[in-house]
Amino acid sequence: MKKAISFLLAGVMAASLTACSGSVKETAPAKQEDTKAAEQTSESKGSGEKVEISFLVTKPEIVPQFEETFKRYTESHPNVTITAIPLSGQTIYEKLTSLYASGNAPTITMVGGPEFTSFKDNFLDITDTDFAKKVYSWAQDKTKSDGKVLAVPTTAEGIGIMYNKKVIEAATGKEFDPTSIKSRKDFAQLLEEISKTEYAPVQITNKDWLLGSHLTSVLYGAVSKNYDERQAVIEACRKGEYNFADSQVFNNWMDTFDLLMKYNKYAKSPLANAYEDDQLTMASDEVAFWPIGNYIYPNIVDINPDAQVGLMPYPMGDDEAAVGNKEIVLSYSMFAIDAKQSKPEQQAAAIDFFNWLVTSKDGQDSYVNTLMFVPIFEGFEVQPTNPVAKQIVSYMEQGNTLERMSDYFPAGVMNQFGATMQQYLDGKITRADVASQFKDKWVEFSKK
Amino acid sequence: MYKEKSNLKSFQVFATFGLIPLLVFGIVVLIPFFSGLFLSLTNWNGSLDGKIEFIGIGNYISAVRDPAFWGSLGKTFYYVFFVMILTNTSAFLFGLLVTSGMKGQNFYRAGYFTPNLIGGVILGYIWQFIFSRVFVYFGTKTGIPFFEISWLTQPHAALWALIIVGVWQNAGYMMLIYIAGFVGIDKSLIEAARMDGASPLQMLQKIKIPMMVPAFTITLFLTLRKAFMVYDVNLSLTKGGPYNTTELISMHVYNEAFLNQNMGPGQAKAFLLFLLVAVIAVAQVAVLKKKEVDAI
Repeated sequence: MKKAISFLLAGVMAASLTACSGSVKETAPAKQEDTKAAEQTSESKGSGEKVEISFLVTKPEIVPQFEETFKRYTESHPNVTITAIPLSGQTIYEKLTSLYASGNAPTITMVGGPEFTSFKDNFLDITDTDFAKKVYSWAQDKTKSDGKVLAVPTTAEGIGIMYNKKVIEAATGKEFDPTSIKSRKDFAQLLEEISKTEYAPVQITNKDWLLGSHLTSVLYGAVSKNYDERQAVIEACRKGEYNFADSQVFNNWMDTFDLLMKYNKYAKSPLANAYEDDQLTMASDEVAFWPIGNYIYPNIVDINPDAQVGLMPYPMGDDEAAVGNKEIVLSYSMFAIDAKQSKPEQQAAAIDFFNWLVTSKDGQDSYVNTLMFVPIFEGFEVQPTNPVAKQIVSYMEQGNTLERMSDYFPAGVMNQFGATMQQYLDGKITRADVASQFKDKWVEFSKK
Repeated sequence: MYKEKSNLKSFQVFATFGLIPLLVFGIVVLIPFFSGLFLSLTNWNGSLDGKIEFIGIGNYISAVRDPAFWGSLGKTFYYVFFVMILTNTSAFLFGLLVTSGMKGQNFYRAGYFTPNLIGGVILGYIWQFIFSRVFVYFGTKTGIPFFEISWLTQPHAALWALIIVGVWQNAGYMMLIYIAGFVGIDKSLIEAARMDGASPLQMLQKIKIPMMVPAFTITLFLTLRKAFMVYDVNLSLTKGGPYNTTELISMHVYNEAFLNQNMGPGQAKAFLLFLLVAVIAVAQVAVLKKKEVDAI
């Protein structure tokens, strides 16, 4: 009996071992493929060979829109079929880990900054492709590794404070222009004025991703206008050398947060409001300001097509010249092509798809009007028409953007920052505690 | 063990019944278990190309040095303790109730069991609605401060919300086992006790409970294991919040591995959790086995 079991186990082990070695052999040659090989085959695509590629769509809310875009592409390129892989509730990191581990890596992947760092060794060098050259130069730093372009931005997303024009105008009786708020002083005055009316001046969503990643990006983005100086701050944070308590930027950021907390609609029980409720109150003209990003705009107009909302910066100082007073955080995830497990013809098809999407009229139309994306590419003939997207384009054109700094956070620390800010929001800890927790968590999570 | 004479014959019998289950067990339990154990001794970071180096017990050292691990474990013990006590008391009482011969007992039996048929994730969302909407509505209408602020936004109350849902989910299932225990007691014992003039309370204390120790062994083991391993309700009800104060140990292990991307320490923590649960469960079963009586 025992012998029988051990014999069986040995057999199973051996079988699994050979299965593994088999798959390694299969993928090995693919590793040596580079763009050149891929591009060579792209020239011969006229032969009409069937190519199937997969596309990991990490924005669950627009999977149907992506599928529509794929269909449109296939109409003009009948030999290529693109299948969307939805995230199905997992995080990007989990999904990619499992897909790569099982040898089913998607040909095209959408990744955020942290996943880009983790998976960049698997991505194809696309430096010499047409579509990658169209990316605005200021947006390229993040898509590069060792001087090679490995990804392109998907869509521009702004993070700041969303305002409801109707509410503000009803409360103040004056026309509202977001550029009239030049500093925190102006903002405080307006909030005070609104608080005397029936309208709620501010609502704060208590989600950890908002507090710990989106809003902290304002903080680290405003430390300097210079890329290298910002990186130096991140490096200092990692080593525990950045002194938050004495940092002017940190204190300014917290001052604004205090201001928002003071006028928070849910000040009594600040952790109770659900994200879904916040969308409803904003859309139904009950609240004037809401720190959030434009990604929520489609939901707002879905609830109330007449909503007049826009995005303005998160004020970073009483001094008008303070960095952040006229800048919104500009965030974008990225498209990357797999280099390790996809065949050269799949990579060529993926490159061709992006050339179509970014440079052809049909593609641009799908990009802007079907996917509702805001291009970070030069020379787009089709421009977004929705008001918030237009605002973001104008922030980009004027260079009034802050970098999305949470992309450089060590994995997992954003949830810790979020937890810290939730405690602060709940009145459980002081500003000094926030400063020391930020400092400690940076070091703790950088070490791992 | 086998009636068959030759080894080949007995292997055939074994193969007929045991081969497929053994194969499945091997593939889905044994191999992952041992490969997990192996990975916890290496610096594997989740990628496929990364070189795997053997680093000994380094991951275990960093796991036990992590204060968040002990914090989470402490909360888990608190949770397990109350879930185990409350689930079993209520399940036992339910069992007693629906075997007492009262009117409509089958209806109650089905009713108590129903929560167990709802998946943990859905259950979590239902209760999230109850705790953050229904309770709060009730609280603001009646002015009872206890309900005015959502429990899920207060660290201690949120842990109790988890305990309540855990009990609510498991009590029905444990009740079934207790019912089997009650029904399995030999009628003659009850009759003899009644003849001797035992009161219902005495019968419960001197006959029913001692005869039902096997049922206790099973239910305590099941609740212990379920409570230690809880993840789905934790995820959908509180998601570890407010500010990570209800992050029970399974969620902590998962977050460590996949959110913080520390595969090694995460795997090491998972193995420590396995050891802990195994030791406690085995000890509990061993102690209760000794108490089992064989009256007939």
